[in-house]
Parts: sequence; structure tokens; C-alpha cells
Amino acid sequence: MWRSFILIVLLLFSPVLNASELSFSQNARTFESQTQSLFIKGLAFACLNSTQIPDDLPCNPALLTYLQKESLSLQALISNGSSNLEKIKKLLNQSSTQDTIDALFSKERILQIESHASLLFRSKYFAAQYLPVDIKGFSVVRNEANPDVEFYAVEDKGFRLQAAYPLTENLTIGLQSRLTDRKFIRQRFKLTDLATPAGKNLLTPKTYNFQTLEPSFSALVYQPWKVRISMMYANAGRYSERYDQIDPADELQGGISITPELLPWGELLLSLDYKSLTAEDSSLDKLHYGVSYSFGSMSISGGIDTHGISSGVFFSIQSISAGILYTTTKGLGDDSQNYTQTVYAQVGWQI
Amino acid sequence: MLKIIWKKITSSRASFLFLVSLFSLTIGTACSTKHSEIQNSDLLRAKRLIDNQQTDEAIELLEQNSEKNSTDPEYRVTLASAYAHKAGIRIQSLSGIVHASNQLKKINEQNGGAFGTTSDYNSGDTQNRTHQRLSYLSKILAASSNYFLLISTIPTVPENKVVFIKKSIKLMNDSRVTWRASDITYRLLLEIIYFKYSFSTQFLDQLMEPSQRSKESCTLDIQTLSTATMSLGKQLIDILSDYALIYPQNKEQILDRSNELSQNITNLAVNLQIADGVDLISASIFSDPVLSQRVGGFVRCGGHSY
Amino acid sequence: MLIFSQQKRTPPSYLQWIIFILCCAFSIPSLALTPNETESWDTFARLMEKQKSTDHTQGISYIISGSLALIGGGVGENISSDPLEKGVYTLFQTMGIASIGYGAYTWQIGNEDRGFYEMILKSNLAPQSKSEILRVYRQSTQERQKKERFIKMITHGLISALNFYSASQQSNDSIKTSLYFIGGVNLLACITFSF
Repeated sequence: MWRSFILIVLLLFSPVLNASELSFSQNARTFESQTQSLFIKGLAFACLNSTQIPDDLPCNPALLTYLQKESLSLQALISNGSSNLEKIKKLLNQSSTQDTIDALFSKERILQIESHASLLFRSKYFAAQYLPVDIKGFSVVRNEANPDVEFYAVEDKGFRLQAAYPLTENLTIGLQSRLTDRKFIRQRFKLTDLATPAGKNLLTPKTYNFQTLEPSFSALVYQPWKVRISMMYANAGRYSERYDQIDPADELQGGISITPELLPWGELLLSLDYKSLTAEDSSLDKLHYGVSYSFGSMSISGGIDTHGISSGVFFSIQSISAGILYTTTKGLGDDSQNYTQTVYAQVGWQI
Repeated sequence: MLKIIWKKITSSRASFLFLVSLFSLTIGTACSTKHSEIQNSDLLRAKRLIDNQQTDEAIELLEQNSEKNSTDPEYRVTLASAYAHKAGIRIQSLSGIVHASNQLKKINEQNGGAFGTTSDYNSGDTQNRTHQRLSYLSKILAASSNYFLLISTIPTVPENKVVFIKKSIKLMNDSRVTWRASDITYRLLLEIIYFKYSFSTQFLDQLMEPSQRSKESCTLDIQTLSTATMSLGKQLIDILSDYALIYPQNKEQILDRSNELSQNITNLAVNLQIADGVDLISASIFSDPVLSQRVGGFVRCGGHSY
Repeated sequence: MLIFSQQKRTPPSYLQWIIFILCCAFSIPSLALTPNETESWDTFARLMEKQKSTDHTQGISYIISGSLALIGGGVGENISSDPLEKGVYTLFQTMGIASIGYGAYTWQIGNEDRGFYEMILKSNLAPQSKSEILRVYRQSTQERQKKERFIKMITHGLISALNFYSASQQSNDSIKTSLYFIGGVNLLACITFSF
């Protein structure tokens, strides 16, 4: 019976026709509406069941109760492409010049940057995060003869609050609230559009704010290998303006994980989540598979989804932490030249 | 060690099943990547080929389905851009022209239209009118020096690649297609590039001093000059009308300029025809070697003997 | 076997929800093994042997992971050309050495309870005497912890007040909010330590 089960799974998820040469060159782990730490990016955002996230609040607030020690820390993350940070900020602050536009769209085919700093407070039942600066930008220019630009730049500021309560030893519930002010530009245009009167406002940023309330639960359902199931109702709340191209719809997210005791030391976690990261994710895009291994001061994470592959290492000792993550949109066995590679670096200090 | 691991796996069969499912999912998701534009796969593929400098393959791909997509503006402009790419047009060259066009607009606004006259151009006594004409001439000279500076930023197309620019412009002039503002802007840029080529080869070359002076090389081909003037005039009118489409708020002003230009070109062509006639007659009448050099001798060779 | 579905549970009442929300404002200290005052020496000894074993595993883990960080950081720094990556790899090496040191400390020395246990183990005291000393040790530890909590409460309270004051004087919005955040967190810690 279990053989047929495996066969069904293999048939269901058999490799889709490799269409990478037709795919839009996206960044594997930077998305307009997602602000997550290096470790979570490494897991391909399959973190609904991760009880020990060393550099961020848990994705699922119900897992706060598994926290072993309260802490107050500062984390700062930056990706490669940091030279573009000033240009993106100028665009978002509407203080850009023609030279900025040229530098952004005429000189490089792919441009990317993610940079954020956050203050985190974590304790067993309550956690809070303050995000004073979070900037993301991505652009791809196709057809250098008549450039076709797909571009987004997002700046977020705000708070994230979490609370958790254990109902039983193996069932916990949680609540998360995000309070965010967002400024963004998300456009697809031809470079020649910028010379037309209609195109003058193409790069004008839109601003809005939102407050969400996201309940969740987590349950340890099977003791051998600690099989855990979690669910969370995400993105529900009040939005001053709703932009469907950037905000994923309200949805029920779910995840399942196991902690196989295969190795004598350390903790291995395998997890599978079903959740949207962008407003355009299809059903297959919502599947995220992550693996993490924690051993001493080191935590290794790896993840795969249709957006790309990621792998990183994170070290944390006493009050200092640092991590590095590699991501790529190149699929397995893909020899196309059209892919994006990104390196993220993060440092943290426990206050 | 392996025996211990195997024992653990078999003792937790359900969890192992989950593990295998996850592994299969790994392979499945890793081998599939996002493809959000399958419906425009030809276009996307063509754009990637252009970026990879495989322009011929891009043109071949687009030409294959051009009849099916004959009224699709995106398809047509991509094919036109492929031809333009073959002629050497790149992002860097385009940004220079966009800069130039913005500066042209500023000069026009600052000078009240570089070639526009004021309301009292023809009013007042002779002294006033002379003053107005001198002032107008100095304005034109000042603006012209800026214009020539700007013209230098427009990319020059080699002789053997001009055919691709012409093909590109022809593709963009199909009246069956509902062109978008960005397409018209692109067509305008190509027309400016082609205008520069035409101006330098068909017009300026006629007036430049030849490398070797002879009776034939110092002759001014007024007929060719006249034809070139007409052609350049038509190109300028096309440029102005495209400009009017992009900036409809200036439509009336541009239309006036266009009509004025059309009239001036017609007058110029007529004058050139007359000059050609006079030139021929004077060549047959005057025996003096200097006077018999005709207009070309003076314009191209400075009246020097050859 | 579904653990949570075995027993019939009544859904939480509204009062329980209110208590849950209030409890969200407070944190509970770490999960250190703290046996109660009346435990016997035998119980304490079993606990400490377990702790030694855990310290051994944890210590070796930190030493191995620290070594990997040191070697990996060195290799990565040589391979990488990006200055930001090089900087992170240098930090990895520093943390690797710190991790090795911390691992060695955890493995060989451990915490205060373990030091006390090893000291009593080496003595020739009778089991009853050992239990009596353990009781006194626990009493004195609790008194010290009370004093520690009081000092921490004052310290966090003062830090909180200072940050709130600095925030009120700050003109930059981001820094102001950060200072209020740090002040708020320290106020929370102050309240926690007051219980």
C-alpha cells in the first residue's frame, strides 16, 4: 500500500516541462510583501513548524512557547547589489534624476537589492519586532534594442507583534499582528514610455498602510520523529488601500514537519509548507520544502520551491550572530543562461 | 551506523513515507520553475535572443509568425526592434536621444520656439524690422549650436546597416496596427536616427569639399540636392507628426510648424530648380574659367581652380 | 497515535482568553533545571549526571561547529571576492573560535550547580550531610536569585526610563521609535522581574 502511495506522489509531482528559458527572471527569495530573516529565506519560507529560528520571530506565533530563552537583539540583512540601494531609495523618495533612471534601467539587465534592519524581542509568550527600514528592489530589462522593464521597489516600516498560549502540552495557539506602512512602485513598461506624458507618473510611488490579525495553531500529532502540523490564517486585516498585484489574498496556510532522529547529534527538521509569497502564486508555487540542521552554534538551512533553490549557514554564539545565504533561480539540470543568483549576508547582536 | 539508521526508518514507517514524499516533491519542484508568460513565449524567447546577441535567430523566430500576429503592436515593435538591433541600436544609444529630446524641448520652451518668430517680427519701420531680423538670426545661430551639439549624441548608423533601420521604420508605419504611445516614441527615435543619416549623406555630403578637386567633383548636383531636400522635409514632417501624437497638448503648434515647414521646403525645391536652370545656362554662356565653375565650384571648392 | 485528541478538552472560556492576553505581556524565565528545596541528594545527583551528559554533547557540538565555522570561514574568505562576503567570513572565523572556547567551557566546567555537585562529590560527607548542604545551597541560591531579580528589575527600569527620555528628545522618527521600542521592552523585562 505504501508503494502505491509513493507512486502517486511521484506521478503527482513529476517534473514539469523545464520552461526556465521562458521564465521571468525573479529573485528566488526576495518578494515584495515578505520580510523575513536569512534563516527563514534559507528554508524557502517553509517555517510554519520551525520551533527554533535563531534570527527572527517564529513564522507561526503559536511556536513562541518553545522558545528557551528571552532575548532582545538587532539583526541587519543585506543582499548583493547593495550599490543600487541609494538609487532605489531616491526613486521611492521621488528625488531621482535622469541619471538615476539611466543607471537603473540602461546599464544593467538585472538589478536586485534587499536590505533591512530589525529590533527583535522574544520571550515565551510574547514577541515583538520593530522594522525601521526594509527596502527591496528588483528589475529586469529585456530586449536591449527597445527595453522592456519589469520593476518593483518597496519600502516597509512597522511592527510585528506575536502572542502564544499553550492549550495542552502538544497543542498551542497563537496570534500575530502586523502594523505596516508601505511605499512601493510596481510597474511593467517600455523605457520609451518614460518619454511620454502618460509615462511621467509611472515611477511615482504609492503609499498605504495595513494592520493584520493572523491566528494560528500548532500541534505535535505523532511522537516518533515529532510529526507536527501547523496552520495559520494569514493576511487578514484592514488595508487603507488594497493592491492586488502586491498583497497576497487572505488565505489559510498550512505546514507539516518531521524531526527524524537519524543522526546522533544535532536536530534535523524537514518541513513542507503551503502558503503564498506573492499575489501571483499558483498552487504549485505555494509549495515550499525546507530542511534545517542545528548543531551547536551552527544552523544550516536549505530550501526548494518553484521560485528557486537556497542554501545557507548561520552561526550564533553568545551575543553575536552571522549568516550567509546563497540562492539561485536556476533549476536542476537547467543549462539556460537566464537565472538570477543572490547572496545575502546578515549580522546580529544580542543587546 | 547504517544499520541503526535503517532500523530507525523501518520502525517509523509512516514518518519514512513522509520523508520519501518530501524527497519526491524536492525533485518535482526543483525541476519546475515559474513560467508566468507562456502565452507570450515567442516574444520572450525573441527578446532573450536579442539580449544574447543572437539577433538573426530572433528575427527568424518572429518572422515565422508575423502574419498571424500582423496587428499585434507588441509583436510588430519587437520585430522592428530586432531589425534596429541588427543596425546597432542599443539601450545606451537610446538614452542619449531621450536626453537630447528632453533638452530640445527645454530649448524650445526657453527660446519661445527656436525658429518661432515674435508677434512684432513684421511690424514697425525698417529699422525695427531689421533689428527684429538680426535678433532672430542670432537666436537661430545660438539655438543651432545647441542643436548641433545634440545632434552629435544621436547614434550614427553605418551605410551597410541603414537598410535595417528603414525596414524597422517600415514595420512601424503599418496603419493596420493600433500603436501605443511607447511604440510611437520608439518610431520617433528611429526616425531621428534615420534623419541624421539622411541629412549627413544626402545633404551635407553634397556641400562638403571633395577630397580631390576636379570639374566633376566640384559640380553641385542640384537635382540630387533638391530630391534630398524633399525627402528630408518629408522625414521632418513625419517626425513632427509623431511628436504631436506623443505630446498632444502641443499638437496645434506642431501642426503649424509642420505646415510652415512643408511650404518652405516646397519653396526651396522650386528655388533650387530655378538655380539649377540658371546654373546650366551660365555654364554655357560664360567662357571665363572662374565664372564657368558654376555654383558647385564656389560652394564646394571655394572658387579655387582644379 | 494522536496525542492531543485522546482526552476530551473543554474549549477555553472567555476568562481564559483574557488571562491569555494578559499573560502575553509577561515572560517566564529560562528552562534551567532547578530542583525544588526539599529534593534529596540522590535526586540531585541523578539530575547532575544527566546535566553532565547534556553538557558533554552540547560542548562537543559547539567545538565541532566552531571548527567548521573557522575552517569554512577561512576557505570562504579566500574564495570570495566581494568585500561584504569577506567581512561575513571573517566574522565566521571569529565566532568559530568563540564557539570552540564556549564548547570547551560547557564540556569541562558547566554551570554553578554542576560545580557545586562536583565539589560535594569529592568530599567524604555522609548522604544526610550532603542533603543538608544541598538544602542550604538551594536556599542561598534562591535568596541570591531574588536579589538578582531585584537588581535586574531596577536596571531594566532605569534603562527603560533612559530610553524613553532619549526618545522624547530625538527628532529622527526611526531612531525615536527604536528607542521607544527598546524602552518598552526593558519596561516589560522590569515588570517580569518584579514578580
